[in-house]
Amino acid sequence: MHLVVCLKQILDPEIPSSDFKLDTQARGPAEGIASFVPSIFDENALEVALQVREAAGAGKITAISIGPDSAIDTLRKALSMRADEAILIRQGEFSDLDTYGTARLLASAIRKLEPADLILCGRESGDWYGGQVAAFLAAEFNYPYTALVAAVSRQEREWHFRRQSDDGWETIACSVPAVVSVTNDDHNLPRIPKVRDNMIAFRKTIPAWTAKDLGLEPQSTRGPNAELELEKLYIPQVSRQCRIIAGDNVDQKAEQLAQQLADLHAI
Amino acid sequence: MTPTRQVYFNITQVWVMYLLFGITLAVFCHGIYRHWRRWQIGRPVDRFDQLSTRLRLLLKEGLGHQKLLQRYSGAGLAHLLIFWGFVFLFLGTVVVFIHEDLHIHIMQGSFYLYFESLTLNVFGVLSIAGIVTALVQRYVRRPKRLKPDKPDDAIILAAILIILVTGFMIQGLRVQITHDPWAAWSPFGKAAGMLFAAFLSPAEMLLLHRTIWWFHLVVVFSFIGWIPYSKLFHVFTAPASIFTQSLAPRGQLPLLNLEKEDEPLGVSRLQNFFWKDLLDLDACTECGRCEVNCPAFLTEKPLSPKWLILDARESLHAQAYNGNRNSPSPEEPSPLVGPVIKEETLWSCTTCGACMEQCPVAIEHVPKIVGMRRHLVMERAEFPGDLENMVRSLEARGHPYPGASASRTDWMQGLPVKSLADQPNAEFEVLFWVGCAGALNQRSQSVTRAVAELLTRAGVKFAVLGREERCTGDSARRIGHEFLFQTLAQQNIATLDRYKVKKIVTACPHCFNTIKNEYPQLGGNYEVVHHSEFLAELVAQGRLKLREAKTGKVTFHDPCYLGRYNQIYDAPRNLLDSLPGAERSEPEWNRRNALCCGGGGGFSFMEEKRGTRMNQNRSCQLLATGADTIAVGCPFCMIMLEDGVKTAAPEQSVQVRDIAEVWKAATE
Amino acid sequence: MRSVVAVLIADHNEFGRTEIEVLSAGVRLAEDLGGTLTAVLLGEPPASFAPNCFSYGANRVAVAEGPVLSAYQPIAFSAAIEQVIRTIGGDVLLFPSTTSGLELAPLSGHKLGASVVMDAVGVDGKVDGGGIRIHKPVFGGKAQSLLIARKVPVVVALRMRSIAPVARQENTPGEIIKVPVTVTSPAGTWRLVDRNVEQSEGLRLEDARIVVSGGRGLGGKENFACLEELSRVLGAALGASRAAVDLGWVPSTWQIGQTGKKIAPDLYLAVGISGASQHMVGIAGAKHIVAINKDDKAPIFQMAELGVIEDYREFIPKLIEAVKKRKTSATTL
Repeated sequence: MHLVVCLKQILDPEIPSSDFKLDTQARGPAEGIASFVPSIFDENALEVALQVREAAGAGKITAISIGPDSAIDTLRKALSMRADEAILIRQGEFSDLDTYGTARLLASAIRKLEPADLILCGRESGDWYGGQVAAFLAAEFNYPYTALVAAVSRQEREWHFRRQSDDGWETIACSVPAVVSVTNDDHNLPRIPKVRDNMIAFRKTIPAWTAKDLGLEPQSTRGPNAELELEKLYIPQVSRQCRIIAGDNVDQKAEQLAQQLADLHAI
Repeated sequence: MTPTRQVYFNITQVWVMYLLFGITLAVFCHGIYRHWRRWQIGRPVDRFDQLSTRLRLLLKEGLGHQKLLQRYSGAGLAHLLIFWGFVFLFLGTVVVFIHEDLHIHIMQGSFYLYFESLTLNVFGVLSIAGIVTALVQRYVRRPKRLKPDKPDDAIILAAILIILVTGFMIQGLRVQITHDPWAAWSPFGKAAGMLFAAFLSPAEMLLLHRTIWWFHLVVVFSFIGWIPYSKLFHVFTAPASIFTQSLAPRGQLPLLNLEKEDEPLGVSRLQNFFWKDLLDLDACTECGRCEVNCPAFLTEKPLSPKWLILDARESLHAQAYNGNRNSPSPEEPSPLVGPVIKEETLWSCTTCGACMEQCPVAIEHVPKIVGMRRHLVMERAEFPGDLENMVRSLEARGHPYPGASASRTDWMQGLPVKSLADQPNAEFEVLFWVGCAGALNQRSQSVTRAVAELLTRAGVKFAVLGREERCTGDSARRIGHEFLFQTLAQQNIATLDRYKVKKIVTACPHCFNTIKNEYPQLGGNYEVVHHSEFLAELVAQGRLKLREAKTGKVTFHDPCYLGRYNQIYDAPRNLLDSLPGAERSEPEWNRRNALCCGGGGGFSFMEEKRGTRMNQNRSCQLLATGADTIAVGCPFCMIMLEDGVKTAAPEQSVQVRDIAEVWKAATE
Repeated sequence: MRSVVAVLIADHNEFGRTEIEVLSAGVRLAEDLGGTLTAVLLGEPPASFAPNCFSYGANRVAVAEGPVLSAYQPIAFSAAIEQVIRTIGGDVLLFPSTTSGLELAPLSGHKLGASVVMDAVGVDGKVDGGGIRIHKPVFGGKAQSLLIARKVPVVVALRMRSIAPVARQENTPGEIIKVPVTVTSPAGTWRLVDRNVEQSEGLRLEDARIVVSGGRGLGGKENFACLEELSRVLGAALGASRAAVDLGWVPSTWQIGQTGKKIAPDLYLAVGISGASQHMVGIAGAKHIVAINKDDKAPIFQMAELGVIEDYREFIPKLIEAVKKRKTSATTL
């Protein structure tokens, strides 16, 4: 069984709002305001893959990421969580990489590996919240696609996905191979790696592939989304004035609030 | 006539004694040998450096019974008497040996009278007094710390009493029968003899003397032979443990070398302990002082430092003494952590150090617990869920507060303070290390601001690292995540060295302890002071002046990492006393005996799942002083005690404030 | 760029808030562009669907019909959408961010070679030189982006509860056409095995008028009990921030936020919630926000209308009392 997990390294989303600033041209976040971390849902995806392998008793997990050289950190984290292999695809050379291009690039890399039974991605990246690469990847391979998956199990020749629906949960049976996008759930919190695994991961080599390795022309990774123009990127000013309920003690404040709620016709 | 006495008076077949002694010695040595082999399965460590310091400690803590007399001193005094009695009586026996077997006739004349007779008599009686006190303590007063009763304890005390009493009996009978001219020099022996003479004939007394002499001998030899097989072994292991105790700064945990590939990360089996850690298991006399000062034990958590040591000891004794030294693969289940020492026990410790402070035989509990935590965290990645989140946050953000929405520079708003990053060439006297709590916790931010304002007022040129500060790593290290600690520490050391920082002041004792005592292990050497010390210095230099004060009734709670670990008790007290109008009282358990607030060892980041709350326990003690203000010197204590006071005494308006806040308020 | 298409899946739901919002966005956009709004229905919609679409501004309803549409299947349905759009045309496709929308928007977009923007909170057609503007929050809500699409087709998935509905117009005429779908099931199988609907004491989070929500500050699973009481007394639904879900205190269906439910209740009570932007994103449409938190520096106090700085453990029981008192006195009047 071969599982492929796609990861992206992003700016730490937990940065306090007061520290979040845009760069001078307002095209993206400013440099140096926070550290880089694996995208939150991508870690859930990796955890799901690890759980699938544990349940099956065997299997190979390959972690793959497109990014600058610093994205190696995310891949090392994946290795320390016990992914078997990690591959970096150097973003630098691919100009104008939009979501179509990202999917095409990932697909061409994945095709170089042994056939994958399941490809897992996070439901959306924790920075730009694109939410499309997983589906595009399914389209590239012409595999079935399922979104918002929280858990995966193997039932004979099928995958069973437990996924969020609009009002609860659904179990989907899907043929192998398939592509899923993963969402967070209390059962797929990414595990803390054992320090020894951390140390082993540190010593592993992570190959970095270029356009040439993938047989692609860098310009060929421009898709329809590259036509979108970013007209403006700004930090919205919040100007709501909050009224703090005053009172000498809890009883008074509770009274006050109840009164306010009544005034709002809430009760 | 020269004062002396006949050795072996009325005793024949003395060769039997030598035979029995030979057997005793063989049994004794075999016992020692078995222990020795067991200790050897531990890892090497050099505990024979600084010999003069070690000797001094042996004299002070061993012979001088320092810790025994500092607390529960009645029991300590009893032991002192028993101990010194034994020392002198043993010397007396050595004198006989020298006199009789080596034929160096020292046991005569004034020496015989003053030493061998009078001194030994006095110490013998004092020793009996000690034993009787001990018996009353153990079987009448029954303090909790001595539970449970074991037959061994009764046997040992009875044996010693028998030895002492029969000793006097033998002496008494002899002086009576021989009409010893110097009997008056052994007053108690003489009295015993007179008692016998009142009831017995000389022939009966002779028989009795011989019988009791052999009886006494058998008891003594059994006693000696039994030493390595019972609690009595502490007679050797206690001084050995005291002598080989760690001389590193108290607040420093041992450094783990993470470079070596197959070194076990922490303690999963007895072989992973240092040999000294195994030695001190055998030094434990089950006195229970550690237990009744442990904040976890006192709140019914599944941790008793005493039982931790005794369970480990039992496991050690169950090992074949030529146990396997090699470390197993990390995947193998631990025979120690889990089966012998439960995980919930290990996670109940706040690392407050009270156990080690109270232990009269220098057992090192906390490094053992952290050693086992290291295995759980680094080898097995198994630890309480709350701590997982703390670790994730430390790894990603360099602070242990997941979900913190503040930035490290928020507290600076409105103050003329800038980070070094914004003014890298600024000159400064001292770096104010704010700490994660001081920057990100809403309540602690007031303390940070108070300290900054006081420093400004005193005209001190200080710098802050702002966003470049990362957690010192104290919490990571205490929960056993040595890897994370070293990562954070190295980052901080690089930053501090880049700015050429020499002197650091901080309001957090955990930061204080780690930077001062633990960063040198990784190459970071700085002069570190706690803000109470620094402010006290400023007051002494006249740079901080009092204006008016209306401080009122105040008490000070000693933070574990400032007091016990770093022996700083007076600076904060002096700071408070320097405020006119301050009436300072001391809580019940203070200074080295202070009870932990429950905030250390990772507890500031996780829920107490069992027992009652540690902070409430301590809060009650502080409230009992009647103070209106409880002064603290640590952000963890602040959070814990504010919560504890609010729960324990919600109607009262007792405030918990940092000493900096008290000072600032009193001088506005 | 003139034809706007609202793609609606009539799977197992009735015509409701979701559909109204997509149509409302579509009708306004069509107006800006001077174009038309077509509602494309897939999945055997009930008869009432089409008239409802007209009531909310659709000019035309295209009902896709074909054997492959009998049961929802992402690849098959996206192929169907492609065929329908290639048959009837469509420049801007609007999807709701339902589970099916999250699958079909990018899948159909890829098939059509469209620019795809997910999680948008608004669209307008007021762009110089032609095109549409898409409003999309990024970085967990810390920043807002405006994207211009000038080339067709464009696929936009709209965040729930972010579009103000247009007024319903009764008796509006409209054309219903049937579009035959001849695509077959793709390679690979996909079927629904089991469905589990979360019963949350009758009140769906998205529809509730009042929502009481707990966060990290609650400290533990058991502590949600007092919020449950409060919600009973107020007749509210219960929600939570991601922190509470990740800590295992509440089921993930309670999660409100960037990656969770988006709701727009009349009243939202945030208890022990700090107010991180990712959470606030989920309640951007709430009318009145009340925050209860013992940390006066919590960012939520900058976004709430009313705030109480108290420990919820002490405050909530008192609030419950005060509300109960009012309720009983109201009924006795």
